[in-house]
Amino acid sequence: MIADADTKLFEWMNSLAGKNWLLDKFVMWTANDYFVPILMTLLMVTLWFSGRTLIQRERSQRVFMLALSCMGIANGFVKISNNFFFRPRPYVGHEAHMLFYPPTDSSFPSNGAAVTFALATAVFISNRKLGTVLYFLCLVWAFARVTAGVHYPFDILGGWAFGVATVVFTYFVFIYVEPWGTFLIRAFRKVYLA
Amino acid sequence: MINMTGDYVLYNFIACLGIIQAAVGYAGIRGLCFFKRPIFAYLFALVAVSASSAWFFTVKDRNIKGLEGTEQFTYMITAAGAALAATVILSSLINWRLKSKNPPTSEDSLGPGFETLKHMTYFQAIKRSLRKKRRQA
Repeated sequence: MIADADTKLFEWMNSLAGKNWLLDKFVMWTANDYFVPILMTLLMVTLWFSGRTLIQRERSQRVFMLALSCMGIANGFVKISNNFFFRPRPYVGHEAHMLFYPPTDSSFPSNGAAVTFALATAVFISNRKLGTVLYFLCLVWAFARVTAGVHYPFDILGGWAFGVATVVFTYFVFIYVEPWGTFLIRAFRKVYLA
Repeated sequence: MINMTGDYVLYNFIACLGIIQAAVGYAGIRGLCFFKRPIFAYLFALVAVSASSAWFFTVKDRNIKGLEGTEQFTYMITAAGAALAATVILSSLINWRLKSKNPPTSEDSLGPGFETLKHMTYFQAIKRSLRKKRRQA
């Protein structure tokens, strides 16, 4: 029943493609592998420098390190999951309207969604404003990827779950290895880079 | 692929250079600013990010199989590091005669890391730190 709803939702969203030139351009612009991830990473770079006081800046830099680690770990989790589970892309077995090149790796979970949602969630924990902006970008990207025929909606949901789980896991790892976070920030401070 | 990598690194480098200026302008880290007034730093960021995005996405079709996620991550870090290095060098050269508006009364009141760069450039801070170490030795 879930698979049925997933397919129906995909078909409805993908049916939006090819009907409106402006929507197609928007989807092609936002669904590609670079635009949204780069925009999100650029916003994250500001975290390293933001904060008018030392305490505010240190908090932001800790979030930066957490988010950066989450991106890498989420990517690793998805790669591990792909070794055990493979779901074909929507264009295999459906008449999908493709606005994107046809990828061949597993559709579930969405690697892009896992990484971007991990980043957004890590930031959202301590910076609600920036976290909300990042979440908005994730949702736009997710919508574009489904509309472009790259993913089923459930792949995005799976990616989100992977992302959130990664943040929870990394958060506790960070508590466990805490002296290293402080040590790293102090080392950067010594050379005036934090 | 080499072309794609080069384009990607260059795009990230220019965009990061811009975004770093906006961030240091907002945080008041004068030693890393290219401009005296933060408004110019924000404008520089806007131009750098929008111009590099427009160039990257219009010069070629980017909806093709290109860089993997891990590669993107590595090149992004490289470009951000290079942008930070360029910021440090350029800001030190531009502001080589930077004098603090509110100079700290003593060496200890400078504060660590970026706090120091609110009063002096990166090169000045390094020079000061080396001199201090030599005196202690």
